[in-house]
Order: sequence, then structure tokens, then C-alpha cells
Amino acid sequence: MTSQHLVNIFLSMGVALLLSLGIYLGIVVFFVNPYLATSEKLPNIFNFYSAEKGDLSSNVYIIGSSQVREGVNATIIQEIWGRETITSEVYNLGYTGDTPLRRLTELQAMKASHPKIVIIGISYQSFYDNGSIPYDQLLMVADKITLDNASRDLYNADELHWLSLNFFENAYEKRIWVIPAISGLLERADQNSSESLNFKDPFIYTVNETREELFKKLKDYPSEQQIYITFPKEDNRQKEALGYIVRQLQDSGTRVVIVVLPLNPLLEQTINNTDRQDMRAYLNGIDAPWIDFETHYPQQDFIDFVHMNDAGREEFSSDLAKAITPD
Amino acid sequence: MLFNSIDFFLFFFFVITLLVLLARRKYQLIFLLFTSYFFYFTSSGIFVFLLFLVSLITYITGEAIFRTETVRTRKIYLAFGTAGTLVILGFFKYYDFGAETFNSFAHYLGFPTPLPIISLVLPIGISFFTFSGLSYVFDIYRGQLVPTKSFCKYALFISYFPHLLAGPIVRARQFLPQLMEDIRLTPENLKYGATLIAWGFIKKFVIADNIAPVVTGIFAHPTEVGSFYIILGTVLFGIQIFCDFSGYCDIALGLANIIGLHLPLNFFRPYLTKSPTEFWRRWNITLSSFIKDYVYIPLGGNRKGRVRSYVNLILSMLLCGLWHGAAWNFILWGGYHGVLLSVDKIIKRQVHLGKRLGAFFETHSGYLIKILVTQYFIFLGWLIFRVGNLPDLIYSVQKFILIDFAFSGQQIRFIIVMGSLALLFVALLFNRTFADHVVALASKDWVKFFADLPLLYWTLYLSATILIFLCLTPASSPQFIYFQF
Repeated sequence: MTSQHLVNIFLSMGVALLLSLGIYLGIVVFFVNPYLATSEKLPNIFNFYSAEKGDLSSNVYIIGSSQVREGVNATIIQEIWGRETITSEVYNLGYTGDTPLRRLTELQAMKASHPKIVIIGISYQSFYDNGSIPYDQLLMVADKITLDNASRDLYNADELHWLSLNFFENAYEKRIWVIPAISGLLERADQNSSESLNFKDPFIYTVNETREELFKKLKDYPSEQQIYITFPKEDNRQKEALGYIVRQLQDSGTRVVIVVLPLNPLLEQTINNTDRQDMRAYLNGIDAPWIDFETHYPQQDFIDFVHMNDAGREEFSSDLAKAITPD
Repeated sequence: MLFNSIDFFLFFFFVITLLVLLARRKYQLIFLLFTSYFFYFTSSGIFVFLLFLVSLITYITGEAIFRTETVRTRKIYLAFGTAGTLVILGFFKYYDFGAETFNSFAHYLGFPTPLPIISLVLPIGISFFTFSGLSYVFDIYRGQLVPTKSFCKYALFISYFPHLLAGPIVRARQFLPQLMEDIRLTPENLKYGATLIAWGFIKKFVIADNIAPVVTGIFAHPTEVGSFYIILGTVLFGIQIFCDFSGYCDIALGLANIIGLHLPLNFFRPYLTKSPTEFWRRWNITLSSFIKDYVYIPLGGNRKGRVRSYVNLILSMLLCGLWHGAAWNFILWGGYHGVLLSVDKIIKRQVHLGKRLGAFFETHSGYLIKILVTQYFIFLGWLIFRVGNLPDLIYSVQKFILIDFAFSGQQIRFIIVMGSLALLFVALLFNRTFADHVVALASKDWVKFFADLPLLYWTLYLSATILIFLCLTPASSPQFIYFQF
């Protein structure tokens, strides 16, 4: 009797475990994943690469951080090229905090979508390599990432851990999105969901810092601005990743152009000449054309140190379209 | 090996399976001893030898005291055994603190020879297993315990893995008699143990771990925030430390319950207590009873006059604070509680309420007022416990006591909503039926209630707790707070 009772209790524990795991996996599959697909840009970029996009030979991708996301209007570029009877579909694939190392996770998917041109927007902070990529950024797309051996060597153990989780581990770690996903059901589709699917003009910034506020920032928090104005002297993973992305894309027949992104003159004036020259010397070492827009725009074109406003975006997009002409 | 890891659950499943298969007590105890040492080795590595050394010293001391007839020699053995054990604890836990304090004084007095700071790693659980060992020695010395002949049993008592890392502090006279019988897995123990473990998991990994980053954020730079955040942080820390420590104890008690070697209760609704004295009867019960039995009473307790009893209380609580850690804020926290306990004693002895007021404080509303006043001072104590830096502490205590009323609009809305709910609750308490229901709910043994459910409902309870755990545990889980003590 006792042993039968014990068996029943063990069975109950097993059933409870399976039942709760089943419900949890259901939550992840039916709520969390769709939530990520509508609210986060990163999974949508992977979906974008794998989606049918008509004539593959005419696609132009512009990649980079929020400076690209805020600073480039793909529609303007497409219209300007269209006037010259160049038919290209131009996409702005910029997202916040992008670096070459983060973009390297997309390389195989990007190559498989055969873009005609990839324009890589970079700035000093693109080469800042301190610590690991935020784990949630890897977790949400881990199942979509394919890495070759050379790429794999650039990631540290922590990053590889998040990339190599099995289905159950990945689902368990996605618990951080359970509450947002469920509370998201109660809200109307917000700006995020439209932004995450917008690959043309996905700018979302609404702040507009005054000249005085920016001066105060420079004065009060100089160390916080360092990543925007210094270029690392020694080799690091970001530099290697950018070089590798360029080579791989070129090898697969894609034209690559690197663009040094515009900076607010208030910030730009604080850049040390050595850092400025070091970055250019590094770019000269990469076998790809690069265009320098760093000092081209007045302070009125920016909403802060690095992000452009409507006027700046329009001007920079036009200049970009004129500087790069698809063959 | 963390309690919330798959590794631990595989380890525990392996342990109980083999315990059942071994069947004979002798083999079961040897196996349990081996697994306990293995468990400690996985979390503390080489310090496993320290665990063995403390066990050996206290075992030999207990044996020597028991075999000696003369009081003087027994005292000598007691002194050697206690000193030997405390030197180990003191070296690892207090050396750096002592050296820093000494160096500060030396610098102040102009002496040029500072002691080196070693930055020792504190072996996890050292305070707990040292105190368990000392209780064995003290009980033998006081003639309350006959030493066990088996070192294996004794070593198991010290190292029993459910309580090894963060308590509760087990007394030999509670634990050793349980080793006289075979270890058997029973349905009642299994069901109650699993219920308790699930309960502990929710407390620690869902409640405490979600609160932790908020508390850390507030107290990282307390001088940059006003009264609102200081009070919020203090209240949340009070909840965090309770859920963290009592969650650990629930898991430990649950594991021990399944094995069939039970551990003593360490918490019993401490935040529903109506006086500091009652609080210490229900908070970290095993430590406070250790301090009472082996420090307060030997100091003279309340047998040597009123003033002496207050001094004894303060000294005992200072030691209790020091036990928590080598830092001045812990000592201050201990002293603060010593004063609270003394004031409580004075009030009970010397303040005589009138007949009507006395009767009021025996009603539900009176109890509520007593609970709120008591908890105000208990939570003020948590502020001292949490904020280690003296200038930060002075600022935080000022903001806690003298509210600055510099609230933002959002904070005012929050206060209005919470205040209204609290007032509504108090108003409803005047309804006797409602108050009786609240008291019944608050005093119900919920773990027993869930453990006694029919199997189908119990399965649902377990499913719900596992699901809550899966959905609501934060991305990273801080270590149990009491591991550092």
C-alpha cells in the first residue's frame, strides 16, 4: 500500500512536471515568439533575409547602428536612383547598438539573400569591444543563426553558450519575455511593432537635445562620450569581424561600400586627431571603398551627438544616393 | 551545485534512490555522509577539509569533556575545543575586518606597522556548521547530551547536505536520535517535502530574486534618492531577505523531510509579530535560540537583576550581529536589536495601560497596531543591515525617519492608492467576521494544507508552482544572501 502510494506520488510529480513544461512551451511558442516577431527588429531582419523579395539582383542593404536607422531614409535613396532609371530596392536594416560582431551573426543569412550592394555604416563606437554581446540579443535569434568556423572563433565562450542552447534551454531562457508577451496582448500594436517591420524609414527618435544640453553632457559626463570618439589602437574582434564581413560578401559577389557616418560637430570637435587617423588607416587596409561623411553636416541636422533629425536625414540620404551609384 | 539546477535534482534523485536501495541504516548513513561531503566539495572545493577539521575538533572535545570527571579539566577541554573552532571561524570570517580596524586605529595613533589584508575567501556555511559543532560541545558540557560513539554519525550531523550551506543551525540532540532508525521514504514525508520545496522555490527564485535588482539599484547610491525610495527599498529588502532565507530553509527542510531526517523550523511568520521579543522567537529561530541558550543565559540572563539583563541582551545581540558578518553595520544592527529587546522588556515591565486601552490592544485592531509599530522598527533595522557605508547609512536612516515629502506626481499617486487600500483594509478589520477571516487566513498552515490535498489537486498545485517558476524567475539568480554568512 505504502509503496503503491509512493509510486503514485512520484507519478504525480512527473505529471506535474510534464504538464507545466507543456503549458510553458505553449506560452513560448504561441505568445513569446509571435511577440518577438512583432516587437523586436532583430528576428524580423532574419525573416527579411529569408523572405521572397522579387528581383534579388537589385537589392541594396544599408546596415549599421541606430545612426543608420535614424539617419537614412531608404525611400529617398530609391527615388533618387529611380530618377536616373536605376531600379533598386533599398532597405534600411539598421538597429540600435549594432556592431560588426553582432552583424556577423547575420552574415550567412545575408549572403544567402544575394544583395547587390551592402552599405555598411560605421563610426567610432562600431569598434568598441568591451565584454559580451547582450545575451538577449543572441537568445532571440539563436535558432536562426548559422556560423562558419572563422566566425565562431571571434565569439567568446559566453556568447557561444547563448548561441548553442538546445530547443528546451532556449525556450527556458526566453522566460524574460513571458510577462511582456502576455501584457502585450492587452495593448494595442505600438510604435515598436511598426518599427520592427519597417525596413525603409524606420526612424523613431523623438528627443531633441539643445546645444546647451549637449555641452553640459560633454562637460559633466566626458567618460560616457569616449566610445563615440575613440578608436581602439590594438586589433580587436570588431575590427576582425568587419574585415571578415566585407571579404565574405565580396566573395559571394556583393558590392560593399563602407560609410563613415555623420557626427554632430559638437562631438566631432572633441575627437583626437590620432583616433581620427587611426580609423582611416584601418579602413584603408580593408579592401573596400569607403566614403567619409563624418564632418559634413551642421549641428542643426542632429537631435543629439550622433542621431540626425528630419532635415539631416533627408540631406544625408540624398548625399548617400549621389555618392553611391549602383552599376 | 545550486538548488535550482538540474544537476542538483539529478543528485538528489540519485541520493534518495540509493538510500532506498541500500535499506540498511549503517550503509545509508555512510552513503549520506559521503554524498554530503561530495555536495560540499562541489560548492566549496578544498574547504571540505575545513568541514572535516571542525567536525573532528568538536567531536574529540565532546568526547574528552564527557569522559572527564573534574570540573576544572572539563573547563579546560571546553576552552580548547571552543577556541580551536572559533579560531578557524574567526580567521576566515573576521581576520580582514579585524586587521582593517586595527590598521585604522594604528594609523590614527601613528603606528607604522599595519597588518596585511589577506582577502580570504569565506568558506560557504562555515558559521552554520561551526555553530552546530559548538552546540554539541556545549550540550555535553552542560550534561544535556551524551556524545555519540560513532564519528560517522557525528560527521553526518555536521555535514548533512540540506542544511550545510545556510542553515538552519541544527542541534545534536535534535538530529542524532533520528539516526537510530533506518531511513525510509514515506508518502507523507515525500508529499510534504515536495510541497515545501515548491514553496521555497517560489519564495526565493520568484519573489526574492525579482525584488533583488530593485533593492540593489536603490541602495547602490542611496544618497541620490529621497525618502520615497529609501522606504520602498527598505520594505522591499525586508521582503527579499525573508523570502531568500526562509525560501532556502523551506527547500532545506523539504529535502530533509523527503529523506526522513528532519530539520528544525527556522521561521514562523516573523512579520506578523507584535513585539521585538516575539520577532526573535520567530525569525532565524535556530540562531536566536542558540544565542539565548549559549550566550544570553550563561551571561546570567535575567537572573542578575534588571539592568544586567538589559546589558546581557545587548551583548548577546551584538554577538548575533557579528555572527552575520565582519562589518560594522552588522554589529550596529545587532546592538540596535539588543536595545529594541531591552526597551520591549522595560515597556512590558513598567508601562501599565489602563483597563480600556489594555483591552483594546487585545482586539484585532489593537494587534494590527502592535504589529505595525513592531515592524516599523524591525524594518528600520533592515536598513542598518543593508547599508554598509556609514555616511550612506546616516543619510538613509534620516530619510526613513524624517520623511522629506519630496515626492513626484507618480509617487504621490502610488502613495494615495496604497494608502487608500491600507485604510480600507483597516476599516474592514472593524468588522469582526472579516477580521476573523483574515486571522484565519494569516494563521493557516498553507504548506500542510497543500500537502494534504488529494493527489489530483496536489498535482495541480505542483504544476502551478513549476509553471510560475518557469515563467517568472529572472534571467539571473543572485546567490542566497545567507551563503555569505
